[in-house]
Parts: sequence; C-alpha cells; structure tokens
Amino acid sequence: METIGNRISKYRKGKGFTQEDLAGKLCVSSQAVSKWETDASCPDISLLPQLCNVLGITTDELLTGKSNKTEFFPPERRKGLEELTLRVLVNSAAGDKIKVNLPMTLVKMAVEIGVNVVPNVGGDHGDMLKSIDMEKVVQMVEQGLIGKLVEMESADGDTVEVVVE
Amino acid sequence: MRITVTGSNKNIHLRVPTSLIFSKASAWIAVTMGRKYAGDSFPNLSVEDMERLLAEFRHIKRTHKDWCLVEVESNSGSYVRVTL
Repeated sequence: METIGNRISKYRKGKGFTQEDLAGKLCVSSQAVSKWETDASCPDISLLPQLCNVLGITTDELLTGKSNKTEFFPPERRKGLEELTLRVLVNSAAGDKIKVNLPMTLVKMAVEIGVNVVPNVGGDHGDMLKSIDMEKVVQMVEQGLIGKLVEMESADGDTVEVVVE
Repeated sequence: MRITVTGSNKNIHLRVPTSLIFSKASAWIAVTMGRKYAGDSFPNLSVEDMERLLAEFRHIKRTHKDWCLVEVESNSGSYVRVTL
C-alpha cells in the first residue's frame, strides 16, 4: 500500500528535486524530508499546504493518493465502465452538500433510455445540474477521460463537480 | 436498501427490502403512477426500460456491498444517506 512518504518521494522525484532542494524550499532540514519519505515521521500539518504547493498536488492527493485531475488513458490502459464510478458533488454557498454516487454502467444505461440521473434540485445548483449533458460525459469516459470532467461555480458560490473514478 | 435520516430532533433508520423496490411489479407501478401523476415531467419510459434500470440496481447491490447512492448534508446539520 502506498504511504504518504512514498507519495512525497514520488512527487518530489517527478519534479526533479533532490531531498535537499525540497528541504530548502520548505525551510526544513534534508533529514526531515528523508524521515518523511521513509515514514519515520510526518510533515507538520502547518507545512502541508506549502509542501503540496511545491510538489504541485492537492492535499487530498498527498494524504489519500486520490487525484481528481482529468487524465486521458489510451485504450490499452483504460478501465471498463463496470469498474468506474460517477460522482456528482454539489456544494451550495449556504453550506448544503449533496453527493450522488452511480456506477458508470447505470449512467450509460440511463442515458440510452433517456433518463436523467442527475439530482433534480432547486436553486442555482439545480440549474447547473440540468445543464450537464450526461451523454457527453459518458462519451468522454468511453474515450478514455477520467477524473474531474465537469466543474461549475455559480455567481452565488454554489459549486457542482462531476468526477469519474 | 437503508435510508438514514439524522437531524436535531429525530433520527430515522429505514430498511427497505430491495427485492420489493426493484421488482418487475415495482417497475410497472412506477411507470404507471409516474405517467398518471407526473405527466409531462415524467420521462418517456416504458415498463421494459424501467425493468432494465431496476435490474441494474439489483446487479449493483449484488456486486457492491453497502453502495452509498446518495448523501445529503444540510447546513442546519440534518443528514440523509441512502445505501443499497
């Protein structure tokens, strides 16, 4: 199982930094970076935003390994629809949160039948949800796109995301 | 299917047999009642289409244990979760 230390090491090398380089950017010792990467210790929580900024990743990616970046997979590396999940995440400015998790096979079937699987809610986020073309989302996934495929924000601060993982 | 509602006043935990909800009879009822009471806002679904959808839900329940379909958290602290 990949640990936080493994991820720090992976992303550091991906950026072409040595442990000393990373340590210098974060004003810590290279021994501290070495300890992080061997999981002997963890970065201080106050350093996490800066560390993630330097490595070019989100804190979610560092802590959980899950990435919501949009990625393209060639046919030989693509997963079948039965292995993928579509998540619709709605965050209203007032603090309401809605999460809908649907297997991609169900989404595709619904699209073929002509049923809208997107939650029917009111408000600005309801309008944003209605504007999502699920048929296009399914096409994008079938063509190899994974990750955050739709991201919208209303003037009031409501956000809607469609993520496939 | 489990439906959980928690709020400041009450907590509700419902267990509904999926064999009841996702049956062919349910498909017929859903389409018939939907057309009757929802009118134009009900999608143009045949009973066979609804049966296909519900069969897929039955498949999801068999292959994915405790699949969380919907989770809603309001700013007032109320929480709703629907799990297959």
